[in-house]
Amino acid sequence: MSGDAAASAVAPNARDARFRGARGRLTLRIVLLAILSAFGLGLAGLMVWLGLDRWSDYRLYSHQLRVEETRFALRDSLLAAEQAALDLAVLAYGGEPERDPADDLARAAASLEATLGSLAAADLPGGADIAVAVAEKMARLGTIRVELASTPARDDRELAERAADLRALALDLRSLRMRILRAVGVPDVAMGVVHLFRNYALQVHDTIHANAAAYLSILTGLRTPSAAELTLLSRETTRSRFAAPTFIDLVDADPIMAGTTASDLVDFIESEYIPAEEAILQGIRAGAVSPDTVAGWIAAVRQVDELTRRMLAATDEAARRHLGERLAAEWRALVASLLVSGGVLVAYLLCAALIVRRVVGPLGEMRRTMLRLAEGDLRPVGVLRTPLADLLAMNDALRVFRINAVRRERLQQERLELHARIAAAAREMRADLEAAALVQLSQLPPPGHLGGFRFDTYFRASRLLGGDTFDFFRLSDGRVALFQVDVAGHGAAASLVSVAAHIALRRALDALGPEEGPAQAMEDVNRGWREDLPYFTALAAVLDGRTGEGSLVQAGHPYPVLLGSGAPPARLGEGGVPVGVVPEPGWRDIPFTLRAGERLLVFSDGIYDVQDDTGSIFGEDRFMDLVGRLSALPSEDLIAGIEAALRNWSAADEMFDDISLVVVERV
Amino acid sequence: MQTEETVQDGVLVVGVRVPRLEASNAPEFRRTLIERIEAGHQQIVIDLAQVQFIDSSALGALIGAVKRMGALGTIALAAPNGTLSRLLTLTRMDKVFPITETVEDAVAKLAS
Repeated sequence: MSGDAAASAVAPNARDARFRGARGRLTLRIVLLAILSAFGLGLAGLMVWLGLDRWSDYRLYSHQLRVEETRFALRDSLLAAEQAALDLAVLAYGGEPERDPADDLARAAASLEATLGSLAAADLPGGADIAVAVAEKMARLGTIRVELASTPARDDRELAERAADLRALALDLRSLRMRILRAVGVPDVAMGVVHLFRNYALQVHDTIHANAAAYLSILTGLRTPSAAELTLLSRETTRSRFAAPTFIDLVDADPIMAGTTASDLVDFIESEYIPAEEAILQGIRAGAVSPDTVAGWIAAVRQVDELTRRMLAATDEAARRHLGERLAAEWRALVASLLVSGGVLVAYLLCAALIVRRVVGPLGEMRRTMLRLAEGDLRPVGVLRTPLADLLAMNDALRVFRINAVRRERLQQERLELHARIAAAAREMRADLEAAALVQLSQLPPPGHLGGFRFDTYFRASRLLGGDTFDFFRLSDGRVALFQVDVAGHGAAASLVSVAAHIALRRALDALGPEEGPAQAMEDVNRGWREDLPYFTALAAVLDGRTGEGSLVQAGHPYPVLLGSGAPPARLGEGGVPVGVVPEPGWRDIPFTLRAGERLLVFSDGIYDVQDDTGSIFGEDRFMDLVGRLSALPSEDLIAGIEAALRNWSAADEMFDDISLVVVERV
Repeated sequence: MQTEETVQDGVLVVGVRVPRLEASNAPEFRRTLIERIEAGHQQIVIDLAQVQFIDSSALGALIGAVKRMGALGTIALAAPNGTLSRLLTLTRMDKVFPITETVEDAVAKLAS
């Protein structure tokens, strides 16, 4: 109860501020969203990285394919140039060329043109420099063709020089080819083997053509070699034989070139060409070479050409196939990686959407509900759209909290209404009591003169209604009657009893005969007093204004005090049983005389029972002293003095008991 | 309200162990006495030695108890101090209760 009061005592504004303060801080919702975002960004980054990796592999093979085209074209021009050189040398020697050298040169020029074209498409590093070099070679080839066109058909020396020019050009083209190879590198080991093998084949081809050029110029008689030069030439050919087995093994081992065989070329060189060349060498050393031997040897050279070209074509085919396959594989990998990325991304987005809708959203919803409840908004708690059991349990708990809060509020409301009703009832009751008090007061006679006596009074109820009452009135025989009643207890019950006692006593006193005293009246009241009513103390007196003589009866009431002139205050009476205690109380009239100016004080025991803050009662002795000190004062001032002394003594504002005092003075 | 009860020679002695008998505890005191009477005690001594003050409500409780007991038995008051004694004299309670100076006197009186 006191806890509730303390909680509701917090000012609503302060509470709002406190909850709003919490809004600025980190929330579960923000953390979840941050984790989702970080995870999503990481995933996206990984996917992009994988995609770019695949894309770069794809680009590599696609580039290799284009560069390969450049190399094919360049090599074709090289082979055509060497062909033309051989044919020109054969022409110079006087033999039959296999083809028209001009056709070969046209083919070489066309190939160089194609090289230039594919070079632009290949996008090589340093491609511009290479293009310049190719253009320069084209110009040289153009010059050679023009010179060849103006060369007389049987001028051996001129033809041989053109052939040498072409061979030089072919060598340059070969180094250009190596530049391209170095510029792009090899994409994988298989292609490395392909390149090695091509280089070897071209090397063999070149060696044989170089030797052919040398032998033909000797045979044509353009120069005479030394014996040492001849030995060197023979070694040149045989040297290529040593590397042959390695290449055969490499080609066999290379997965790309499966089905191609290098042994045709190597076997031919070993079994046909080298014997043919040795025959020429021996003829030259002997000084006589038969035209048949020369023709056989030239045929062997052409056969080497043919076999080389066939091998290279097969190699090219294998390389193209390999690169194409790899390109396709890389494309598939790229597409697959994109599809996987897309799938993962879609799955992630679905998951994220699910988490946002079914976790983050409900969390926020619940947070709003809680803040709302905390601020006293008791609208119903919404249904949470989430499959999570713990969130559902929390939401159910919130619902219970709300129901409790609603119940509490209703109880509070009921309590307030009850309080209001009680307050209204209390007001009503108080109004009743006030009205009753007015009635009770109206029973009391006002101070004044009556039958030769002066009556002064003091009445104070400890509550609205008191158990004390008194009255004085004239009897039919001229005497004056006085009584005072004190019912045990205070409040409404006591006051009602006091009214009954008041009426009974007044009636009994009124009914007294001329010789009867107040004891008779008291006996009458006692006899008629119902057993189940509370007892009361009373004092009744009958006074004769003509003589000042009177008699009184004391029924449990405090001893009245006689204030004689010049004498100390004196107690009257001998005590007596209260009314309503025993059937035979045995009261008797006590005579007394009031001379002029003498006073009789009749009072209830409330005067004695006033307590100070230590709980001590005012008491009879203090009262007698007080009355003695104040005895010279007129009755009104005497009463005021007594009241002041009692107030002074009393610890509380209200008196503990009812107090009533009647002062009778003989005038 | 604190009371101390003993039975001496068939007489129930109710010792009142509070200094004041007044409106706040008088109803309970009355109830206690009525219960003893209804339980069959016909001779009851009320030991007032420790009581300093008694008001009209408490006197009412004593009178109520006597009326309840009626002619069947006796309630005696023992050892009232000065103030109490004065009140008992004023109200002539000696006509209602036997009043003695000591508990022993009261017990002896009632037991005989």
